[in-house]
Amino acid sequence: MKKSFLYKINTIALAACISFSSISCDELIEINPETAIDASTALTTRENVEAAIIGVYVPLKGLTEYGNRLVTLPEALADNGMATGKSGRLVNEAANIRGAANHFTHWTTSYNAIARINYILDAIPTLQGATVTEDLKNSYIAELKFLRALYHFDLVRAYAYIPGAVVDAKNRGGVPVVTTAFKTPAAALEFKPSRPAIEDVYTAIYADLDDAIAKYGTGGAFSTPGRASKVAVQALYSRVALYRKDYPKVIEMSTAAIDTRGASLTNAGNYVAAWGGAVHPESIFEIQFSAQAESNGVNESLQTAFTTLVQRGNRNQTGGFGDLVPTPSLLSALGITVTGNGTANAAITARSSDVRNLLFELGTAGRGAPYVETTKFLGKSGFINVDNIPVIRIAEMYLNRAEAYANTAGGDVNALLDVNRIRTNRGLEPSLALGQDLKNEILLQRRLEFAFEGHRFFDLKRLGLDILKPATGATVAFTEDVILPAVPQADVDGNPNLKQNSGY
Amino acid sequence: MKKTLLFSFVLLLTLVGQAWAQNRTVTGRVTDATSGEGMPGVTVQLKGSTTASPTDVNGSYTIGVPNAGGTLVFSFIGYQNQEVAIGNQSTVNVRLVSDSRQISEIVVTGYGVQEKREVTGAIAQVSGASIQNQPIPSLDKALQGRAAGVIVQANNGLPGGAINVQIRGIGSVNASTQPLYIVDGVQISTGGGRVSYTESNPLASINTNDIESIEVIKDAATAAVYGSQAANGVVIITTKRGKAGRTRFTANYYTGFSEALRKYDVLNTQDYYQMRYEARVNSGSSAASARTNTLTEVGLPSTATDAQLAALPTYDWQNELFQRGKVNNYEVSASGGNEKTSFFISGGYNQVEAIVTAADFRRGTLRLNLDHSATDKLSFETRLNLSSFHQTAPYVTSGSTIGSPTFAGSLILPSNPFRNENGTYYGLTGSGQVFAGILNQNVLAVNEWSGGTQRTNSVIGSIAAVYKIVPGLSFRSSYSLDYSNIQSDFYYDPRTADGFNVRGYGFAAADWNTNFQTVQLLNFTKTFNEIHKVDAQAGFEWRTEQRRNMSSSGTGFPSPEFRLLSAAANPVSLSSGYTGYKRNAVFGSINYLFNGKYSLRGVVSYNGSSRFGINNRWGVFPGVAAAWNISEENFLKDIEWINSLKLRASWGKNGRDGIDNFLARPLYGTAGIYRSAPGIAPTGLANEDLKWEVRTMLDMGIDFAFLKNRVTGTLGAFIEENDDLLFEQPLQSTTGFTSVWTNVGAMEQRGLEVELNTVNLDLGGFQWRTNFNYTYIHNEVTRLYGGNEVLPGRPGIRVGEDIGTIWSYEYAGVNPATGRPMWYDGNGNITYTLNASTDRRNIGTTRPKHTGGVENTFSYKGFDFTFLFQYQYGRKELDQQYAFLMENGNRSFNGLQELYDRRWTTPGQITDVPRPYVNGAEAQGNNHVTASSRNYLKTDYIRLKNVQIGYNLSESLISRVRFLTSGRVYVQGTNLYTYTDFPGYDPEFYSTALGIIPNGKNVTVGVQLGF
Repeated sequence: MKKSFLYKINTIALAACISFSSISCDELIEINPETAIDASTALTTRENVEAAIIGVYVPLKGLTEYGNRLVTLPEALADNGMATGKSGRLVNEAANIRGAANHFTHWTTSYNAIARINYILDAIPTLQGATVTEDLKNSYIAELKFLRALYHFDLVRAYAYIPGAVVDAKNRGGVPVVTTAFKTPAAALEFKPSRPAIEDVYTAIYADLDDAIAKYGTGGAFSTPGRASKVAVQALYSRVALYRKDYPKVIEMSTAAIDTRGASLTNAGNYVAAWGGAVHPESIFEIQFSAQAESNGVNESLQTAFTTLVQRGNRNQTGGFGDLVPTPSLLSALGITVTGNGTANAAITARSSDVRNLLFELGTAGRGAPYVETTKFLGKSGFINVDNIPVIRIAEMYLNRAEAYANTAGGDVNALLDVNRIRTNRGLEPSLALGQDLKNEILLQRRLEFAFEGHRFFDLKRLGLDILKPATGATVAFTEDVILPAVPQADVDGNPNLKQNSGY
Repeated sequence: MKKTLLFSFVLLLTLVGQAWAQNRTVTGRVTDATSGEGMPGVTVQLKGSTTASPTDVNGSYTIGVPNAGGTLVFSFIGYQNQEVAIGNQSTVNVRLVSDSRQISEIVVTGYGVQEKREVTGAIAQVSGASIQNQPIPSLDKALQGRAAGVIVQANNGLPGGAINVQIRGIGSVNASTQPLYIVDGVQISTGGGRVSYTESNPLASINTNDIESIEVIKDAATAAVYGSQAANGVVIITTKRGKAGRTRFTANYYTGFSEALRKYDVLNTQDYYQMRYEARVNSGSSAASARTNTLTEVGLPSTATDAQLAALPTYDWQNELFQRGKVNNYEVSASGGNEKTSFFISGGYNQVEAIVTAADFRRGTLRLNLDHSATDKLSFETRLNLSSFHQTAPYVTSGSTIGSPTFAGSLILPSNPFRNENGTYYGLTGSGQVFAGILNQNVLAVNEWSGGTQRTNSVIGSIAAVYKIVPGLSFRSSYSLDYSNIQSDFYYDPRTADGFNVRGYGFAAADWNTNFQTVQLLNFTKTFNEIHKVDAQAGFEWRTEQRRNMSSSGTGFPSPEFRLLSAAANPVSLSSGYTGYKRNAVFGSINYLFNGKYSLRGVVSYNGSSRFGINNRWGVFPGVAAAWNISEENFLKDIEWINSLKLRASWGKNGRDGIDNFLARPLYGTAGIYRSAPGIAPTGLANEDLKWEVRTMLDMGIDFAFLKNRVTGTLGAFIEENDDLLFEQPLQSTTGFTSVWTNVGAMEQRGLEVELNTVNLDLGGFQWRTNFNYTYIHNEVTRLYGGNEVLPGRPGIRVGEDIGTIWSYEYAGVNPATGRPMWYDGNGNITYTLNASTDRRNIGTTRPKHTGGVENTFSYKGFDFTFLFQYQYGRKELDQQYAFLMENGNRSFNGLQELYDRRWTTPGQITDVPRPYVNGAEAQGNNHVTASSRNYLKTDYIRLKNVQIGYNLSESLISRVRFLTSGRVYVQGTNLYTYTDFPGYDPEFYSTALGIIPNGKNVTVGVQLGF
């Protein structure tokens, strides 16, 4: 009854509307956005597909990804970084206070990027155009699968335990692997994934990496570390395999990467200079920032997180906050002797021959008492708070392979060769360690080589090691809840299949 | 429009049945006591007879009276009757005082007007007179405390800043809840999202003194004519029109000052030292290292002695930043006309300097309202409002930016001096001087050198032609434009921290909004057999609103003298944007009134909006209403103390459409740049079935007038169901999207409104009146989706609870043994570490439950004294500025004396303030400033919103001055007194209060003259 009444009114009103105007009513309310294009036709041209691929890289610059937290947190959560409280940032993280906001938070951004990838992968088969060749399509697919592997890997290594270092009682599985694109609200609302086994996620990442290598075929030559290349796939593969403790794969992929880019390893003479350029010569893959407008700003860029300095050696000009600085244990491992660190009288009194410690110096007093800070990120892209961020450097390939050899029966000699290649290129004498000592030496070299580059927490986590934090008077056991971050509560609340990590 | 109707209506009445039995003649003139203008159409009646005469266009009259004299009764709708004994006078001049109890018998209801007794809906009226000369830049703020059911909250005290208005509570979770504003028939664009530097309130372009009346439509049936955009209520503003007769001039001036409501009582240097010293010791530092570090922090060498510490001065930074604000307002107007043409023109200049330096507002307005009858059948109406306002804004106007004067003022370490001995600013970047603390910028320098300006130019204009087809049937065709342009720029000076490393940073932007609207309206009015009165309307409306903007920024300026982008060496960003929407409606309404007793009303509107999904763009919005004037019934007619009594009820459906323009469209948009190449990505997951949110409201009310109209008022109640809520339904973020807009969920509101206006005393020229209003609103989320009792990710939104529910932790005070902060966990046990999923509970609501105002007016002869109290009860809020000040030694910025004095220092001490601790979180414990019942504080207040003492010059004084027809002088104060326990700057704030310019208090004096 009510419905038919409304229907009548509808009809009458529509008739009235049409009689008032000579055009149809729908035309009267037709309007198009000029800042966006229709999704149904967006990915049908080569230009748009290429722009959409660029759109997959952009999230990597974000604050929850490499722009900040994927680099700062592995230092803050582990034993490399301590918080100065100068802006109040990273204080809870460095104190390992359990809380969703005090840990990795790249879940949402990463899955958004994965969705971007899946949309493009869906569109590529039907892409047409005069310049669209099968090779071109294959190179798109290879690049996208590399990126999808990277995003999934960064998720699983953060949100789940790493194979071989699992606290069974607290293991809630890996992370959802998403390879389909959701195109309607209904399909998206129905999606309630559970957490697959950790191994399954690594298998899926392997599949994407294998695919990427296959699609590159003989192509995918390295031209810039800012974009995917075949060697970048191999390098990422090496790291994924290392985390999976699949040592033959590590050796295979590290060797392939070293064959291509091994010569880029810097030595004690040009190590510091290499860190002064916009693009690090050792980078196999890095996240690049080219314009001032891309800066993550005076509050949260890596430069401001790590240092108050604007230029090396100039303590009169204050830039950022310097929220996270090296712990005493890292400083001593780097061979730096400092007195009064964090007081007005702070001073570096001695340095060892390790050239890596030259990237650590006293900050300014502009934000409070000065600390020794790292200068790895110093506005090298030409503007303050704008730096490229190395994700994989060639040095890692040597150390990955060293670790793989050291864990392979009879591999110590090869392992020593690799680790000593790093030591000698950093101003140190060759090591003669063997067995567990050798493994410890490799881990130490990783700590020194990649300090403040976002490795340390994961290196401890994948080996199931406790985190020693004498600065805060505590040791964080590997079995504690705080080793894993919270899955976003909104996802857990809305999905009974999705298990929250222990303690949240 | 209203006034003309009113005048002609009365004119008609008084022309009926005049009897002439005079012996002599009395003449005189009737003037308006407030404006001094002559009043045409006033009924002058000889008491106890049928002899009566109307006044002419100048307010003059002539009436025949018996030789013996008698008493003349002067009456006019909206004014108090006045009786004058004639005696042997031959001239009787009278000044009528407007009667605020029945300020208007005509009510604007959507596309037309109605007599008050016929009104079937809930409409609150605020007369222009009652808000006249309030020193506030925008009319929305003037509604505060004056209309039941209307809540007005200011984001800040920025002149021309944004105001949050809720009419009958909050009906939506995600869509905008701001009402629709209509100025002289023009739907004003008030949507946000404009590119600007400081807040620019579109309603600030209207001079409040040009306003004749404001009607707030609260019920759904009356609002239904506005269809899909009516669900938040409608505010209709009508500006003044000219009247036939001599041209009247007014000149109006007021001036005054404003001051901060309060300043924070922050620590001196020595107490600050002690607080941080304790924090360091409590967190494990040795006494020696705590001492050296804290000495360094306050700028002393680490070897300084106690005497040196005691000698350190304290600098009051708040004092330097706050100032005595100023307000100046100048206005002239002229109005008049003849039988065919009438006009109202006004010009005004308003100048406000805020209570914080480097923030001001300067506005010029011009208005022309012109009405002309070309023939008996054809007439034209023009409304034109031109305005231009300029705002100077500080470096930032909100947020926790270090250089923000309002954020940093209370937090800067008190040991930092303002200036060096040579007069230069202390601690500038690059000077080598260390400005101590986290807030390490000299905000005086930032405030002087860095900042922005903004100009908003706007035109609101309409023209209409009305053609009377046959008696009772007319056609109105109107076209209007609401255009505004905001030009803004800001500059970070290279001498300040934000500009130093980039050698200055400049930004410039422009934003244009063009809002065009046309209404074609057929109007029918006829009374059949003298008892069946029918009003009917049918109309068509089309509105298109489009906005464009451009902005750019650059760095690298030659010197601080160069501030425009043309001097920048490096372009940093370029942007241009566009958005818009279109709306279309056909509507009709019919009103039937039987014998003055029974009114029936039906409304229906059929609407299309480009905002909704392609499958759901059109909707029908009906309303029905009825009213019964019981006092017209025979059984009540003879009861003398009942002057009028009306029962009314209405039911209607409205839509709510306050979402972004292209949300429902599947789109690819820009997604940043990488390696100098542009990226694109999906803008979101589109829902092509998305439609408006539906509000269905049942409204009931009683309007009454008792005891010779000395007690009048309204009792109202409503029940509102909001359904198909425009909802950002959470998705698993693994889909790539965190939410999709859908129509799910429901929310219910029930409210009670009371308006009571009384004349408490009326003795020999002395009068005391009270206007009181009160509103209670109960809000409840009644349904989410998929059986969810709690909204994933937003635990405060739960079925059965208020939309403003604060789902947070309960603070348990301080452990007397250790000084550590404690909370209650989910089981009610004490805990130090909080678990978000198990320990939170309902600790209150951010939505005020009880609101209202009380206004008292005392008048005696020409003097009047008015004061308005406004109150709010039941809302808790987290004031983030206060939350920073609560840290009490967590970090190196200042704290509050009262908290410092209450801090835990010795075992056994019972207090609510934990011991200071560096960074705030003790080992295995949460930070004491974690949001909890400790910092969600009650904002309940009663505020003396307005107080005014005025004197209207007496007739004898006026008559001595040639040309002068009226005069008024007054002193006025706003926000002079507040009764509240809230410890922040101001309990009225909306949003976060972080780093805002707070509201101030204000005193003005003014003079208003009529010629």
